[in-house]
Amino acid sequence: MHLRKNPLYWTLAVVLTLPASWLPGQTSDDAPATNAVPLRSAALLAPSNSSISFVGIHVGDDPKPRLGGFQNFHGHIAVDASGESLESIAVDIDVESIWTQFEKLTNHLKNEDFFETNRFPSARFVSTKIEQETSGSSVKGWITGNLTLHGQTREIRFPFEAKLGSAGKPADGGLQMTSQFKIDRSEFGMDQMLSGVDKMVEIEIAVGKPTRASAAQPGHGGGKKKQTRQDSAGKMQVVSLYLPHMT
Amino acid sequence: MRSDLKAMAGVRGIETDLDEQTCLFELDASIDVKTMLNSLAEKNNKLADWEQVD
Repeated sequence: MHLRKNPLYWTLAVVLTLPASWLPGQTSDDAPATNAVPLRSAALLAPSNSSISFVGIHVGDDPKPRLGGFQNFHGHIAVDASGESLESIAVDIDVESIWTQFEKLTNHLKNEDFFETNRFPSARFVSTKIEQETSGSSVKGWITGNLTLHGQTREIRFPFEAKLGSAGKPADGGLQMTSQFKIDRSEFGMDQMLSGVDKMVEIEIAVGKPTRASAAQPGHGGGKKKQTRQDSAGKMQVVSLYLPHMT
Repeated sequence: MRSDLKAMAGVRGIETDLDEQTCLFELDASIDVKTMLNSLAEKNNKLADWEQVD
């Protein structure tokens, strides 16, 4: 992800990592107990097996990308009985649990310029439609759903790629899914500081594989701090240093 | 300091915050950050005593 490519650009990278916990397939009431047919399976999304992070970029010649994320959230990804396609995805996010690399920024994002967490402490995404093509254990397509953010609900649509197991089993012990897309924060009423922070937000989703190191953990911020993470492709690490002799 | 980092292969997206005395950048995952920074710190005292904080 070229964070600094476009100075008029805000990037919100949402990273979900998921060594999925799979719920046992539900059984049809009509099916014989000895021949129960699994109707669906679901991978649970939680901070213990997932993560959400974002990067914000300022407007101007020096976009100063800022990493952040959400500490608390939960949800699920439902998979059809055959284990070959996604049925739905739903995630609830505790927006108050937002974190960034800088404590001042974290507090700023919580206030009325952005998330206004005292009024809108939660966000939610619920899919309404999933268009997908399956090739072996790989699935790709588009997810449409309603995102409620900052108290406003808007329909969004984003692409995804996923890897599923066979016969309803998760691939390699967990569902894998990635996605990257943009939303316009001003459409959710987050229309302050548009001259300083671009309205467009890029979201990145990666499910089922570790995408971040310790820097992804919440609670960082303030004066001395470090962030070291790998991006979703695992090819770059983000390093944040405290340099006592910098000035 | 910034130019030193900028000259390094595998480094991108450098940003600095003078107020907080922090420097953020992306680094190719194959590069050992400690080795690189120690090497740079020998030439530039602004990088001396660099600290990665968890």
